[in-house]
Amino acid sequence: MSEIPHIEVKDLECAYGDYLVLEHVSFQVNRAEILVIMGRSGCGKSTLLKHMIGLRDPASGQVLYGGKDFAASSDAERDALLRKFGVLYQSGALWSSMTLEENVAFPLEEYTNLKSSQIRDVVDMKLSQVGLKGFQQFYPAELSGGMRKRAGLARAMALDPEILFFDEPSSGLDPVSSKRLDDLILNLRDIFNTTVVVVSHELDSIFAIADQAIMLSPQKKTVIAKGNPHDLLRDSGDGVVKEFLSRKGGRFAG
Amino acid sequence: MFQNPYTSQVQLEETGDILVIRLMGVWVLDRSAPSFDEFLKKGALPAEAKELMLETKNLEDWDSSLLVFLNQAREWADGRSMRFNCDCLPDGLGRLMLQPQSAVDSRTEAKEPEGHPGFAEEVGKYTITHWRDVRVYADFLGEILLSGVRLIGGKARMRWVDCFRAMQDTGPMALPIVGLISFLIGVTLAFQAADLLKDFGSEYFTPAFVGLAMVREMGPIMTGIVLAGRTGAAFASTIGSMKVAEEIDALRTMGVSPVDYLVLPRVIGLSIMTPLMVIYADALGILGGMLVSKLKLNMPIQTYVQEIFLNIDLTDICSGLLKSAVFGMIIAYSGCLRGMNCDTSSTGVGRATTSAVVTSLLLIIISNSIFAVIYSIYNI
Repeated sequence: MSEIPHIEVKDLECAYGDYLVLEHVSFQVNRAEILVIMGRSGCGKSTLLKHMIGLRDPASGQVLYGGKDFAASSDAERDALLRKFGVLYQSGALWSSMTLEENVAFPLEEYTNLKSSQIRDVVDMKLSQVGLKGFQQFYPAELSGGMRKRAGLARAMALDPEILFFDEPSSGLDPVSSKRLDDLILNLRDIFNTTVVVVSHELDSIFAIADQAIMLSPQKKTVIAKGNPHDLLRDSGDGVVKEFLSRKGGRFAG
Repeated sequence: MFQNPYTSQVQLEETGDILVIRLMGVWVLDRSAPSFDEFLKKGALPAEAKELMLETKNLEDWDSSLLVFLNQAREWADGRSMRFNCDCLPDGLGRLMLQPQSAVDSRTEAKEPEGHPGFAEEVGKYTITHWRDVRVYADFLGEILLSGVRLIGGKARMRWVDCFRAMQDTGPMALPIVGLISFLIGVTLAFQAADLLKDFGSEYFTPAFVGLAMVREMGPIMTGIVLAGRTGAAFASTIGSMKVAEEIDALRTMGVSPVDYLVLPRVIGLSIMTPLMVIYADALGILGGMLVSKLKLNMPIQTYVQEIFLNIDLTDICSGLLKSAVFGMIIAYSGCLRGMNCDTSSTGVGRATTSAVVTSLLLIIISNSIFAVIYSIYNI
């Protein structure tokens, strides 16, 4: 029986005006799988993510969720899909005029009919899940970068999303927090069957969490490798992929 | 020739196919070191050599200025397919020499800088970008209108807190500055009018002049200008910083329209609050006129007040208030427009703020002229 992939990107082309960033991007992510989008800086990782979460419309090609074309959906269908997403932005992207509690409560107020006391309980639970118990009344500006990021994760998880997107989750985190975040991602997948899409270039994190990875190249403007990162490191014949995954430089390593 | 041991020196030597460049002395950035081009010009380098060797036995101290020289030497050698031999360089230097190239390959994809465009091309580009901008402005206006329709239909999720905050910022917080400016404008108007009217023996028209000018023109305009600088700029920077911090994206991916949530409350807040501020500004301007009439013309306060009531009717006041509601919307529109279209960098926020103020002032003055024409046609 062939299962419909949870996320399917079909021949996607991403462009800013006339400037082509990526073309012929195709891949699939199954339910409860962790996909890492990797590549060197400026290869279009974040651009691809923006196209997947609907912040930008594809120049051509499709992004399908459970077989449904996201860009071609009606507003109501789009909203229904968006409800199943959780996005953790690079800097957390908490709303700076609201406290942590209000930030995390926002999606709950927006999409559920919970009473305010119930919402508060859910918010408390989510915040303690990311180690921020007791910080409910703090404003984002009063927190460190790592804490903001974790609070952003609590907000992304508020509605128990089916798909979680992470934009460079480990950037700006110390190694210990970064490792904890990786563990949390794995737990979410194991417990809630969440599908996870991560944009990252942190090797440790890639090897620790990825079931599947795709690598983008700024020169070729497309996907140059696909597969489990361990297999890619072992079997890939492409020097660029090996260089990236093994952190071994070519001629200027010294 | 006197040889200063603290300067940089280059010597050239040719042995068969090998060209040896000897680098000596101190090569540091704060002393002028010879550039390779100067060196080339001084003595003709034999271009037939097969290898360029660098020798640094007597080199004392060096930094990037030496690297610049070496890089130029390498480029020169590469251009003549000469072998560039850096084996004799000190260990660290040799390794550094290999590095800059790595930056080169990552930039191969970068666009070639285009040559200086001609006049016609400049005009064309300017026209295209501005036409595109006009569409952006119109789109944004349309979005706000649609969002207003959604609000009336009960579908928009608006943040009333933002609306009240905008009202507080435009209202109570701006009272001192708006009050002071209007009062002084009233004083100035009264001085001008009193001097001029005295020549015709009709200084008793001063209250009418001050009152009408204040209520119909100066009140709304001065309030508009102050609020554009205060509130419009604040809107642009708040929304601009939100855009830089991806907070607007976060709203979108949560299925919330940023226009409903951020722009609409500000537009509503300002269109309510600006007329109220104008009433206050009118009152203080008239008060300023009263002070001058009393002190300069020795006019009894009672007479001044009577004259004001005799010459200004509700239509005059309302014409000013209607205008000011539109000014309020313009300020909110420009501030939010510039904020939402802000470049995602910190300089972008600054530019958005400036541009918000300029746009609102421009639009206020233009719309004021349009109002003047309409009012004169309908005799309002």
